[in-house]
Amino acid sequence: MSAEESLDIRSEGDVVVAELKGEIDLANAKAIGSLVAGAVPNDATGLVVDLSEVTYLDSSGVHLIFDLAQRLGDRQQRLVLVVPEGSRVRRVLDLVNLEAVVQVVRSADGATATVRG
Amino acid sequence: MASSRSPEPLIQRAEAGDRAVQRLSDLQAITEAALSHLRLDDLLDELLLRVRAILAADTAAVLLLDEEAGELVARAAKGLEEEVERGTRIPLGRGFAGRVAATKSPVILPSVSSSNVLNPVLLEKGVCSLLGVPLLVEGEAIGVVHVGTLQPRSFTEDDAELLRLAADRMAIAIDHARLYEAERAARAEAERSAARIEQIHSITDLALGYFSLEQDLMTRLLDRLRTALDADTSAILLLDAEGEHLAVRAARGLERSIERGVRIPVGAGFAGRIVAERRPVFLPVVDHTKVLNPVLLEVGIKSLLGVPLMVEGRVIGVLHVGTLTPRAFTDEDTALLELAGDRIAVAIDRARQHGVARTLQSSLLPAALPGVGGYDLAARYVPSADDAHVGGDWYDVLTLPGGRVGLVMGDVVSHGVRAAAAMGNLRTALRAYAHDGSTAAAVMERLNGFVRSLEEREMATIAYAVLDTATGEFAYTLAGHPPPLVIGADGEGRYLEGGRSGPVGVLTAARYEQAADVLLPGETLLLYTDGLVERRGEALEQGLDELKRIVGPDAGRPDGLCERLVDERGSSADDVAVLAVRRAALGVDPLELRVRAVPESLSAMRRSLSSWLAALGAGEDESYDILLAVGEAAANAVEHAYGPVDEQFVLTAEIVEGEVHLTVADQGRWRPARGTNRGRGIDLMRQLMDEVDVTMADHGTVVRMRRRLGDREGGP
Repeated sequence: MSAEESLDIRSEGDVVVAELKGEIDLANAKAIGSLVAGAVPNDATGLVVDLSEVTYLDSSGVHLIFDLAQRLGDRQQRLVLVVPEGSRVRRVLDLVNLEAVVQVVRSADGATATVRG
Repeated sequence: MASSRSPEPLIQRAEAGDRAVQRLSDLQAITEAALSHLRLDDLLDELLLRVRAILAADTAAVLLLDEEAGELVARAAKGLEEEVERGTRIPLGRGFAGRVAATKSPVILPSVSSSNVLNPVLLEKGVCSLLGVPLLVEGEAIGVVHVGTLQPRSFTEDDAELLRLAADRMAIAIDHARLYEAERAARAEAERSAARIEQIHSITDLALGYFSLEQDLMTRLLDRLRTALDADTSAILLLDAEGEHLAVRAARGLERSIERGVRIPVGAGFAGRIVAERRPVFLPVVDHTKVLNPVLLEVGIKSLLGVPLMVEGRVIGVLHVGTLTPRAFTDEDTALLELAGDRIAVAIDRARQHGVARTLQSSLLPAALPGVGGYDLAARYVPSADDAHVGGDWYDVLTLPGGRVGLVMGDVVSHGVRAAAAMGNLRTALRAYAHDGSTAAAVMERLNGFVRSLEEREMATIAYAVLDTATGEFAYTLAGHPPPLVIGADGEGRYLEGGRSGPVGVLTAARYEQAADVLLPGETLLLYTDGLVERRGEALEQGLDELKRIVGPDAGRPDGLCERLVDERGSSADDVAVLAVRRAALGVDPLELRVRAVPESLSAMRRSLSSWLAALGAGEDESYDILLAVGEAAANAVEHAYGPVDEQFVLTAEIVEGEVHLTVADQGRWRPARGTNRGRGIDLMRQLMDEVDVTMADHGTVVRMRRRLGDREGGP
């Protein structure tokens, strides 16, 4: 899948919400990262990355998330990931201990509120 | 080229000798890449890798013009990825890239500084020297491609010329890819796209023709030579088998000497002397004491320059040019003629060794079939023993989106070089249409439209099937082609009855039917060309019955089956092509996948492995762990692939006493992990599998992994 097909981006007020879909791997991770990062204006409070519809995520995808976390951190913006219970993606995120770096919530509902703290 | 007569580009390239041939093939690779990736991002990535390799540069980047804004936007980069990530924009006319686009000319920047470039990434990355050329489509700049080095380098005119040639192809490819995207929306665009395919082919065909001995191609070379040297006549004479006489094989301005069958003894006359002395000979004043060929005198040639055609130190003939007014050929003229002679000699020698059509034909068939998980594939092509009948049969296996595979078997009705070239066109066009996700019948309809739009129309019969690898279901269409055979697990055969339509290239608006069928586990689908079933004085029915009989009851694996079929049914009168696809009987066969080492292959590879694991009865969680671990190993193999188009890695999987054994073997050398990303990949593999062993050797890297099934909690 191309980066564009794997991605829906919208704004909810001062928070950008990126819904990722399908498989994320070497073929599209970098492009997705650029598209998402480019969609967050400087004055946004933060970003929600919703992984609910992601069926596969490898270390390129992990790298993409760490990279986003760093970029947003540099700009004092917050990143919240949505990873539902039972998601395929949770396995790899647990293995790399992602929750130590990025805040993860179970459901998209209220994720934007979490960003606003 | 120092000559003031501005010789033809072909000759210019010949001047650089073998390097030129290498460059031609590099450029060819760019054209190939252009055809196999219709998505612009993939295409640009692939093209930049090639451009960077060809020019031995450290960075390469493409910026495309945003016409509304009048700015160049970084679209793809190698070694300068930040340029794209930051969405760098350069106004037309300003900075380095802006200057290249505005002037539509190559720009060489020996020393990069903040005063001559605008893009901060170039400075941050420590790029020292830059070479940039415009991407031109119909004379308009659509963007810029540039390469850079981290050490100071003086890019030469030669480098600029090479990048310009590559850029021409890239521009066409980019334009083509854009057109292709547009085509999905507007059917009206279809015609234009076909024209583009043809345009790209005209480049390909030139390079292919270059190595062939066909009379008209030799004649074309002589024409180019005549123009390049500003001469009135040109001729190629070849030595006979005994090495005693020369005969004129091709000529411009001296055609009569072919008709008359002029033969010159070695050692006598002008050409005979060149052979005997093995060196160039210049005759400022031609008269009957110096030449034997009466035609030279009849047409009134005043001056002659000739060189020996040499292959590995042997003289095989003579190449000469002449003028109708006295002319003092210079040393430079001689050097140019010698270089052209070298290329012509190689071409002649090569063509002699192989037979033209045969060479062309085999260069257009897939070098290797792609791996398809859960399926075993094999194919054979046997050219007709009669050279006049070679050419036109082809097969192809296409990896399509959504776990589908396109199976193609075609036969261009005519024979010889023209058929082989037409087959190349059809193959490429079919590939392009198939990737668009259309149904089998729609692909055939568009292909028919494409063939009808060509000037030199060829009729072809084609069997095309689109197989869903997960379910074994396939849709097929038969354009005037004999029916494929489905061979049951018990060896019992049945011919596919549906999807019958006329050959492509016959009717302007032909409708194509398609039919659906399913390949069950253990069954084999056999596609073939008529050479396998048709015999002189034998009804087709008889041939079809005979094929069924030979196949059963134990068809065996595709490779052995194809071998047996061409052995027993191969005909010397016609080409024979066969393609056999066997769906694995459930869960027992080991898996072996050859995967193209590009990121886009990874998804299909995982899907194949996933259905193999499902057939084994592996649990969902452990399957996911294995997919992830193999995905990481494969990503490493892809990241380290570097070089030829067809670089592949091999995935094998087998079940040994309840344990899945997997290997991922590539031909690259893993560099130390860069940053945290790849290192993380290897850590993941170790956490996901019971055992991981990475062996690095000069010829490649092999990752061996094991995981016992049903042994531990995986997943969330």
